[in-house]
Amino acid sequence: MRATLAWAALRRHPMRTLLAVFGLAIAAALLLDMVMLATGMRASFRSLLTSQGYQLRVTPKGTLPFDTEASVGGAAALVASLRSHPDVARVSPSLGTTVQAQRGEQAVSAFALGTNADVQGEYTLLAGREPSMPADSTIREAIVNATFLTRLGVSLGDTVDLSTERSAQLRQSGRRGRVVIVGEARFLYVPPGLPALSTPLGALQHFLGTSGRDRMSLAMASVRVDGLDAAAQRDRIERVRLWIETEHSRVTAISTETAIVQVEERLAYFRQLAFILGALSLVIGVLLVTTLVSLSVNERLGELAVLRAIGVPRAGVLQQIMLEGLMLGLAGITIGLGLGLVTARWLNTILRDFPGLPADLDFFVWSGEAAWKSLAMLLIAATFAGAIPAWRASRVRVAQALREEAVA
Amino acid sequence: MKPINGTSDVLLDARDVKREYRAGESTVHALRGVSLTITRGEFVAIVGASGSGKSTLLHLLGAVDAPDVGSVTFEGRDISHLSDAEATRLRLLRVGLVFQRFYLMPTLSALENVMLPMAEAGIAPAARRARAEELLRYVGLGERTGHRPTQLSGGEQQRVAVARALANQPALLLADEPTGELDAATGAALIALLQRLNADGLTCVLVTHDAALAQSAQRVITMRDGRIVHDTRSDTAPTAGDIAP
Amino acid sequence: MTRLPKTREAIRRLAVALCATVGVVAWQPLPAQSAPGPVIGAPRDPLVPGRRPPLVRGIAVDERLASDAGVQVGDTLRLSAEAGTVGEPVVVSALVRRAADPSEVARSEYRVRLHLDHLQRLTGSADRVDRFAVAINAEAGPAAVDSFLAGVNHVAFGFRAHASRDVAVQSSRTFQVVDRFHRAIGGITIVASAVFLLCILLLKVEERRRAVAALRLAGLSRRTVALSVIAEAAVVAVLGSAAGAAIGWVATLLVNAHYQRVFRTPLTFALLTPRIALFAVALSLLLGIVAGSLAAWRLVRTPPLTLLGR
Ligand SMILES: Nc1ncnc2c1ncn2[C@@H]1O[C@H](COP(=O)(O)OP(=O)(O)OP(=O)(O)O)[C@@H](O)[C@H]1O
Ligand SMILES: [Mg+2]
Repeated sequence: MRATLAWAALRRHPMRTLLAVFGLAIAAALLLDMVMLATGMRASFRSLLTSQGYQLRVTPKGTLPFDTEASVGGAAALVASLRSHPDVARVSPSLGTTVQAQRGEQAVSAFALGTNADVQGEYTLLAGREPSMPADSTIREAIVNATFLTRLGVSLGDTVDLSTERSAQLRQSGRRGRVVIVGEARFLYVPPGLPALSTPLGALQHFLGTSGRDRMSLAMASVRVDGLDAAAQRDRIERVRLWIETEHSRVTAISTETAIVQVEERLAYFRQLAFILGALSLVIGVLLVTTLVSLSVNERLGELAVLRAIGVPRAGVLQQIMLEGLMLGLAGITIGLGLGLVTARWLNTILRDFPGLPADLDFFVWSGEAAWKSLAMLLIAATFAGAIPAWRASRVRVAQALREEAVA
Repeated sequence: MKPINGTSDVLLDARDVKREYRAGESTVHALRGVSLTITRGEFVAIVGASGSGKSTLLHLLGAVDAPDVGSVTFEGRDISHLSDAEATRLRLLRVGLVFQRFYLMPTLSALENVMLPMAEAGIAPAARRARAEELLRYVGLGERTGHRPTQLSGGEQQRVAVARALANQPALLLADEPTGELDAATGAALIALLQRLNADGLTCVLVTHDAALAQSAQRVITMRDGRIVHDTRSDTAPTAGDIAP
Repeated sequence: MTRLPKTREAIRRLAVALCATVGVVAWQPLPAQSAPGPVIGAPRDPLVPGRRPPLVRGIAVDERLASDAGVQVGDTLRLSAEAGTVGEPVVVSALVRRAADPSEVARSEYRVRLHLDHLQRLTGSADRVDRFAVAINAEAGPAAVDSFLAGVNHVAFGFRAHASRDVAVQSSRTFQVVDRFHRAIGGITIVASAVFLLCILLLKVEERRRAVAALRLAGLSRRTVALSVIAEAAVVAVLGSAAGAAIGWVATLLVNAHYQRVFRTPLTFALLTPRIALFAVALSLLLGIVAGSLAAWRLVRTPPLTLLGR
């Protein structure tokens, strides 16, 4: 019956109700988007970092993975030392550099990654096969990304010339080699617009000559954590991390968690923007509902007094009016959910245009829990926005209001 | 549809009831000490000039308002100091209220309006629908159950209001100028309805300016300036037939 | 240092996109006791080109690094190109502040500045450079830039010349994206607040239905009533947006203070221009008139008795 009354009250002024629902829908959409933005990058970055199961990243001291072209020498010994730790399951060393790729008249500069196919956590193979390590020195086989294929106009099985110099026109110096493209891969950390290729680590080191000998830019380590709870996992990873840093002064070891925290710091702007706009949309929602319900209560004070006179308790009046807020909220949120997802997708495509971002990084990520929580918050806010006018209505002095209704 | 009979014959007893309204500096003495006993099955009309305190008294009798001084006893229970929740419960279950302006919920149909107090009392949906339909048939609106108040005439609306007042089988029906907004013929029909209810045993107290309605009562209480000045009983209670048009 | 321009650029943008973290030029302050080490040569001004290199070279240190590491002018540091090696002692001869360049925002890595020959020696990249900046005679005009570029690129052997403006376009892509994002968010916010304003104004006018009914009953024409309703809504809207602009201005102060502190930059983040304020006021005036008209239209078309009675 209370629902009937609440519903009827909303239907009495369809235009008003529609506007309020629309306003709430936009507030809900904005809130949802902002929650998706605030939690999304973090979640996206985390899944990117953890997708291959490596929890530690070892880089030249003071740098981040591929943030500079810094590399460390003595890679083989370093990797061997890491592998010797009983808690380390796998180590994947890699070396990154820029090479010039040429086929016929076409030339592009590409990101070259030396890594070992059996342990690598840098790419996923889409077509073809992993490159094999040549018996002798020169690079023989490579896998490339889609951008490489299109920019150079080549396909699997084609042969490409590589050189270390910026321009292939320069003939006197620079190292040169030739590779067969044996596979196509998606490189997790390489921006989609950047041509990339990968060869076995040893092959790339050799190709680079003295500047590549026994060097690496990054080693990723996977720590054994099977059967441990979250806290124990974190503990063990941290112990291994500390061991690496004390054992090897030339490197920095970063855990996924630390990397995420550091990213969070950089993301502060987006999170704060999201927080402010999210809070604003909550306020807007609450204000809308309060205004609407106040108005509707003021118009109906007499009616509500009659309800009280014929025996509806205070709580009943309170419930009925808050129910109106709840219904408005539910309708607004339902529409807002759809609206929010559409706008989030749109905003995400805008931000994904950032030059230099890994292909798999998203800014707006749907998270059921976050969405659920934020929308529930809006719903509760909308319901309680009706509480103030509702409370006022429930306190109406019955005899007095009956008289006033008779006068009005 | 016979209202429940209590053990005692006295239904309502007001003892030296006073009520005043303060509006800024001035104080209006709406009731200056009213004592009144109403027994079960009575049909009482309260008459008097405008401003004499009739509505105020009716509100006190129905636990809509509380007296400043004095006590009101209803079914043997002092109702002058009830908490809001208790007073509400009393109004819901034991008192039926009818107003001059009907005060139906404009958004609900006639049937829903009658079902509303039963829903509040926690009666099961099927039972409340059945009883609401029965009540509407009783007041002669069996065919109009689905209509909104705006689709009904004043007389019809007032009959819906009476049906609503009867929803939870109250011991007392209070009506404040129930014919005030109705024309003579429609008013007479309503009076006939109230008489029929009274004949079935329901205690009715009405405030009225309507001479016809006052005449139809067994007992007429006249008020002036916050006091009862006459309280007359006609020994030969008129029957419904006497006042029907 | 930079033989990988594409990757580096990509990675720099990754950072600007707020997605990577601190990168550090390898630096290691000497232990505290040796901090006020001997100052040799001309420590206060060793960066002036053309001087004979002093025995201990001077470097300029980023303000941030200086304050974070407690480095002062005259301090001696050790500088190496390779982590874990001892490096060579250098003396801090100047502190530098970064320009208010948006591309510097969120770059939290430290920087030191060296003489070219010093860096070349330190990194073992003798006689190598990443780029030359070439200034064309100002009188020659913009066409000269193009012909110079064409000439250079025609004979280029291992390098390529770009016009500064093209480089600027390329490197501002990040900010174009941020700008587009801000525009999108701004658009959404404007739509949201427009709907919100419309709602509130409509409701506020509806609240006056009884007064409107009374005016109509008193014999005022529909026109007069409608105009008064619209005028009231418009005034409320303008007053509200003026107050909003004032709040917005205070908000820009807070935002700037906050982000300037967070990102350690003199950059202005939020700016309330007269155009924006005017836009806000004009938009809400428009919305006020629209809402007022809508409400007035509904009110004057309803018979006054219906308005009263309901
Ligand atoms: N809230 C109030 N504030 C001040 N005075 C009041 C208030 N309510 C009622 N009164 C006064 O109390 C007196 C009695 O009012 P009441 O409504 O009981 O009269 P009534 O007999 O029902 O009149 P009517 O026949 O016109 O309905 C009147 O003088 C009225 O002005
Ligand atoms: Mg009265």
